[in-house]
Amino acid sequence: MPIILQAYDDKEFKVDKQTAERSLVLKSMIERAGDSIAPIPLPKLSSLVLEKVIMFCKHHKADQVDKSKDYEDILGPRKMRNGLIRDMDEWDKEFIKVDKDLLMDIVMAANFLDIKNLLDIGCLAIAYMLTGKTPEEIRATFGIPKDFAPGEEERIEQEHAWALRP
Amino acid sequence: MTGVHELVPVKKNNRRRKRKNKRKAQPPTTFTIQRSSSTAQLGNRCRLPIEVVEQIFQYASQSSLRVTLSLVCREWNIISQQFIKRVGTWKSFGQDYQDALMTEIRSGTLNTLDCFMECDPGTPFPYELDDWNFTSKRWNAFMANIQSMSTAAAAQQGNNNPFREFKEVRMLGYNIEDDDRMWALLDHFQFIEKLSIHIYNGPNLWIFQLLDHCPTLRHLDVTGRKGRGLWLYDGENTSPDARYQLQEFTSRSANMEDCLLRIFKALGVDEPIEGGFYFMDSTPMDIRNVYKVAARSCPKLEWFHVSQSIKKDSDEFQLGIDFFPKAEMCTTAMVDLRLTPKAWAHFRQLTVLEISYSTATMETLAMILQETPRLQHLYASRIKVDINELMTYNNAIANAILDQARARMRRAREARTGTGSATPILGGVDEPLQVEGPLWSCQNTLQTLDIGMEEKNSPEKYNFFEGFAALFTKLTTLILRLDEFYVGQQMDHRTKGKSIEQQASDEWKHQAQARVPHYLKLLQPLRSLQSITFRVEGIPGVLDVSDFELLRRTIDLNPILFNAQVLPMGEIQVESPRAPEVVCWPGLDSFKVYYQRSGMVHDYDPLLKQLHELRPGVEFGFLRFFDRPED
Repeated sequence: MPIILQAYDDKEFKVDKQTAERSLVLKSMIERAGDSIAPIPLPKLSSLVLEKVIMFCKHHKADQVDKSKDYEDILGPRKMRNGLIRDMDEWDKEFIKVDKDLLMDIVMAANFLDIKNLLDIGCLAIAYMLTGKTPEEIRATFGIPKDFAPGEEERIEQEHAWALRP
Repeated sequence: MTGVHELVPVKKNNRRRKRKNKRKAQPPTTFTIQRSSSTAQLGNRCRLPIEVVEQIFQYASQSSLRVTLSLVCREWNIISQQFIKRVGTWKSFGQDYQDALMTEIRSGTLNTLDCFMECDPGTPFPYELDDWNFTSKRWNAFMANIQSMSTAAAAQQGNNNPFREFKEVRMLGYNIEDDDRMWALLDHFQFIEKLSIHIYNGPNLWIFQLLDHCPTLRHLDVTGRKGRGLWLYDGENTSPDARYQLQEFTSRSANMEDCLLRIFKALGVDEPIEGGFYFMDSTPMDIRNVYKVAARSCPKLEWFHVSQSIKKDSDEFQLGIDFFPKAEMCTTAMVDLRLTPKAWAHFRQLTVLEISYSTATMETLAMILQETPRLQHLYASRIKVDINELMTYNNAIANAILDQARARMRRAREARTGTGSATPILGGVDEPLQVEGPLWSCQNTLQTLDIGMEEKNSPEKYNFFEGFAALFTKLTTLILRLDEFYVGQQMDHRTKGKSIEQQASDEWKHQAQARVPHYLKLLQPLRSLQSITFRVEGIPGVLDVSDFELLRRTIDLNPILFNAQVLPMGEIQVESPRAPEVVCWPGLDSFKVYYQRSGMVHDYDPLLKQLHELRPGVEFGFLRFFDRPED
């Protein structure tokens, strides 16, 4: 029985159960609803993002439920941090090569729907994207206001900078 | 309202999507946020949730955490604190950094020291790191500095150890074997409780030296660049009475550290939780020393896991026995050793055994069969069995059987020459063998057998089948690795390269076809078989459902026939007029042949279909090696 997911623009997506269950949130909803599941409204997701998320879930639907944990078991925490981008599936790599705004939407959606794998690769991609950016650029990217008290920024800067100078 | 719905793709992206799928509804414009540098108007609306930020920071490098991420906003600064190392890892170990470190050391405010040079834990790509040779020079200089400083400090303040406050150290053990300065440095860290260390060179003897150096050490985390051997114990360099307090040992490298992990887990605890060994064959070590260490650290050894080749004549396992008088080794184990008979006495509890040692001999196998009364599953694929040779390793019972079999064979020959008619060898001899007690100790428990065949000519193979089939009547799963499934004497090493067609004379075809039923015939005594798997070099294309006639019916056989002599094909006669029709292998549910190449016919589907009709409950398969999901 297909599960129907509704984006905020009322666009509906039919997915199979296995795909939907990649999201732990949806999984618990499906479990609670049993067979008579009504279309699930996801007012926080645009159809574009939802489509992308579904694409990911569909591709990974046959994976073990907690693949990222497996990564960690195999590689160890450090190696996971160092090597995940390189060790990422080619498909995942291609999948996550998106515009930064869409990337952030995907991460938020993964967080909201509790899809650990997607959150992992999304965050990794964001971390990668952030390297080399100035704080100002990052603030612009995320729309974060600069809320430091006067002098606080300089203090933080001083605290860290010496350790990194050659 | 905060959250995802406020974040939508920028216009460009939408346009692209639109082109792709025009029917797709566009998000209402009210949700669209124009990305711009005027962040003020956005306020907090677009903030990522804390848990997401934390996740991102996990993957961020130390340098970006320090230089940029912590400077974004207050919240990010606070979050970043938990990801920044107290005294950071560094890339090039610059002078400023060294100075700052020294200042902190002098002032006594430093209680954690990170000394990774090459492995910055936060760096996403190792190649971003500086050449470690360059770094190591600086490291050496720094060590010398600390040395002189602490010497000076010691002179000034009496015996005041400048590192007294250090509870945790992460360091790079550069050439720890020869480097006295490293040891001198470690001398100062005698109060630390946690040490993370990265070794480039040297044996692991130092770990015990280290423990002697730092009696308070409770957590040790070792990463190694190379496994350079494992000498855990050295009577001269460590104090035999030392009591270690180590409670936790973690390591991220494979092999030797894995082994250490187990040992250290047991160290310093009165009741070993999981005392035992795990050795990989890439760990060159002196196993005697390992015994000593383990005997000292885990007197109640619970398991033993070895994958290591040891010389045949060595007395390692004798030593093992000496050290572990109470050890009950292995309920499950992978043993890859040639063991002395006495050593096997310790493996009486084995239920599963895998031998992956390629040169394991008949002797090994004989020992296993003899010394493991509880063995249920034996995976010995690398052992090539020659039943005659095997017999020479066994006890008096085996010899008795062999004698009887010879005598019977002789009588059968005499009878044949006397009457002039072929006397069936299998099932045709009235007088059963007199066997007292099980031939092998695990004879009645063995359920799974995965074994190879001697590569030389076929008569031994038949004997093997007969022997094994008769010996292990309780087998439910049999995996046989045959070099050939279909040819006997014709197919040996010299002909392997030739194409099947080249060899495929009519006579050959006939013989080839005869082999399959023959092998099946020989497996008949294994009545409880549920799964038969042949792993063969090739199978003939001429196979026909009649070759598998035995899957439908069989004759009753006498329980055992051992023939030490060459058994020519023609002398094997299965058909017997008095044989009642009974289903062979009543519990069979799987019959598979894995092959590397086949004869003329590659499509076994029609045959499979027929086989399925022959025996509907059985799963049949003719599969090429590479079709297998898992070996």
